[in-house]
Amino acid sequence: MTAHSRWLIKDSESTELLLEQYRHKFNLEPMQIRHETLSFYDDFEWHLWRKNQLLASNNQGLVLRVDNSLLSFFDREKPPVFAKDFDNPQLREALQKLTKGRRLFPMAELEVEFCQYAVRNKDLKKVCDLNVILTGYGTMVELKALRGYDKEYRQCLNIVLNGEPNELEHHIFLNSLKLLGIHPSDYTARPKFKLAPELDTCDAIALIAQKLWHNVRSNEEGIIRDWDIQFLHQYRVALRRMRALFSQMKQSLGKEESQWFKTHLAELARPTNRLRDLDVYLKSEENYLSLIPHSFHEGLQKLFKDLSRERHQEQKKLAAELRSPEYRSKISLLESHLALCPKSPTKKGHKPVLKLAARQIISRYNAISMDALEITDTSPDEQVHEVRLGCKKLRYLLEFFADLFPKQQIRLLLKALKQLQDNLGEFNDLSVQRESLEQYLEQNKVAPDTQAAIHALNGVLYNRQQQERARVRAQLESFLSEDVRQGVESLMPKPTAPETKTGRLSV
Amino acid sequence: MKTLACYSIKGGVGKTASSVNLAYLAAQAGYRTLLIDLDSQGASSFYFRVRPSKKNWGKRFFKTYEQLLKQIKASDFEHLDIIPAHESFRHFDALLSDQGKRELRLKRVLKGLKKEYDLIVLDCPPTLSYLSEAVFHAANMIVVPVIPTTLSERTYEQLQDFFGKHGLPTKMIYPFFSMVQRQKQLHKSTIERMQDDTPRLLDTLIPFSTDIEKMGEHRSPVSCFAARSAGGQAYEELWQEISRKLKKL
Ligand SMILES: Nc1ncnc2c1ncn2[C@@H]1O[C@H](COP(=O)(O)OP(=O)(O)OP(=O)(O)O)[C@@H](O)[C@H]1O
Ligand SMILES: [Mg+2]
Repeated sequence: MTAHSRWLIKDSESTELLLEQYRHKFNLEPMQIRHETLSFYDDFEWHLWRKNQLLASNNQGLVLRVDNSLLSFFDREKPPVFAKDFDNPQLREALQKLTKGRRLFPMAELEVEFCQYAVRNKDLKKVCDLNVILTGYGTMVELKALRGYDKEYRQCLNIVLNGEPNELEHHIFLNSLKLLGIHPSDYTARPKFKLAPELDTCDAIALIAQKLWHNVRSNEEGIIRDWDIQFLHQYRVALRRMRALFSQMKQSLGKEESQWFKTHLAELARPTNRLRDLDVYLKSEENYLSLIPHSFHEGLQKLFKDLSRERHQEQKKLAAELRSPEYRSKISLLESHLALCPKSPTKKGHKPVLKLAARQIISRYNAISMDALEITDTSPDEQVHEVRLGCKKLRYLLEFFADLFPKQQIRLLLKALKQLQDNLGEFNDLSVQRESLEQYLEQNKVAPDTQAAIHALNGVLYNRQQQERARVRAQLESFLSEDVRQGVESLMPKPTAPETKTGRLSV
Repeated sequence: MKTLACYSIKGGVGKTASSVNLAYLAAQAGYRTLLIDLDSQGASSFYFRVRPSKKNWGKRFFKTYEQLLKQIKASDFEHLDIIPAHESFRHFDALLSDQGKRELRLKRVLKGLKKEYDLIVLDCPPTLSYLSEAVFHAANMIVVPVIPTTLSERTYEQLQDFFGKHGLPTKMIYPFFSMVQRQKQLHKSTIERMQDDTPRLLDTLIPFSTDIEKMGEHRSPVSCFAARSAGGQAYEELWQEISRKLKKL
């Protein structure tokens, strides 16, 4: 019921005029006037900005959040670093979800003046709230009605509307930041390749590789400075995608060039393996603790202390590696090759990408289907892993080429694949986790209570893994269903010439 | 949602001062609070600068909750709304006397507000009437300001008798001393006597305070302009004591 509206006024003169009109008709009492220098924060992927959200701090305890257009204040908060560190639970939860645990960086500054006025009647009773926010790029006027004072609200509204203000679609902060020239970086964890269907396949490959390479390079600094663990993760994902690209499209690019890239990319990934493993373990500490009885917690916490010590060392090592001249020279070598790619594409490489991509996706799907058909509830784990690897390859193909196809044609396949991969991935993760815990026991001198905790944990993980295993058959069924198969087959562009031939024959 | 009534048969004992300050402090503490000014004099509306309603709605007050909602006005303070007094409240008794189950009507209508408010504060006129009976049925707790004089002591006993005769539970009546002047021998001895034999007597004493008197000048609760004065502190303490009791109800 409470009405609430906001407008943009461009110059300060009209703002003064507006206030004057309020003073004429009402008693205008300034309740609070404060100047703040606000730093605005976002993460490396601009998750907040992209969702119409802003986060700011005066770096003196005050944090502001703009959710679409709604501004809220939070007192006694530290300047933002990670969303999980906020004291206020609503702020913390909302931002953790939005930033996906990524580190927050200051991205711009604004000088802001907040003026809060109480609009009062003859009895000096407040009948309306009037907020004016000035940023130097414009003034936002905001009017809030008070229950039971509708007539007065309408009068206040008319005063504003008489000045013919601009409607304000976003919060004044967002407007001002845009005017300041702030815009999100072009980095995204999932770059869009926007391939033209008739592009030569070999050129498409080069284009995809270059975009992925951009992601590799963009994450280096974050890894070196250890800003958050996503930098390393996304660095590795980009490398893995590139390797998958060269390996799966080798027939278009030529064996030799593909192999060269695969080898050199693998070399970049290798020194990052251990650190990523450690990041994954450390991230699962809370989850692990929740899986075993309290009496084992101390033992397990020792393990994690140990791992976080190792992580510290590993991170330093990797940072030094990434700063080294050797790494630089590997990078420039790769970049020169990427610039020249494709060097000597095959005949297939000159075919349009749409057709080749479709063929590749269909044959990959068929290959997985063949393997999947043989899997029963009792098949050995290796066979399940085979299917999982096939799915991964298919997933990469879809990531590269999905945009070439109409959305609804590919939707079913993507959905079925995602569900199957979640299931198979979880199954595999659990087995990897168990193995590495075993390995830790073998390779280290482990205190008895830590041993006991690890055994307890392994028991729980084993049960989980069995539960995942039991779901595999059903997931495979839906992946093999007729709908999905038809969807996959429809990806092939209709061959025009042969059809006319058969047409003529049948006459 | 809890309903707290400030009531006394006697006039000028500090019912309105208490309603206004307690409602304000409750809202400050985060309770979504509605103060209903049941006294046609409109004293508590006055303290919040809300004009008594002119529209003729007294007749409908007990009819529907929708009618009630239309009367609600925001105060200047967060979490605090007010239903201002109305002249026709004077005729409540006449209105109520021809309605069946009249004493339960107020209770039923207020029930409709339980989603919106955590606490209803009723500022009552100094009468013993159908309206007060309705208030007794609607309230979870009735606080009674008592000026420590022999006369007040007697009126307080009258109230208890009334409860007894009408089968109302006396256990929701909580008296407290108001406008206490320690230096007066009469006040001192009355306090001592009553403290010995009055059930549910609240510990907090509200002193006679010029700051509380000045509420009329400021047209706002004492905590707004003199929170640290003796009067301001006393009401803060009284609210703490009452809120502890309310939570247990
Ligand atoms: N503790 C106090 N110290 C000094 N003055 C007080 C105190 N409490 C109330 N007063 C003053 O005494 C007068 C009566 O108080 P109040 O209006 O609160 O009593 P009431 O019981 O509501 O009266 P009524 O029965 O007329 O509604 C008011 O002028 C008020 O300012
Ligand atoms: Mg009164």
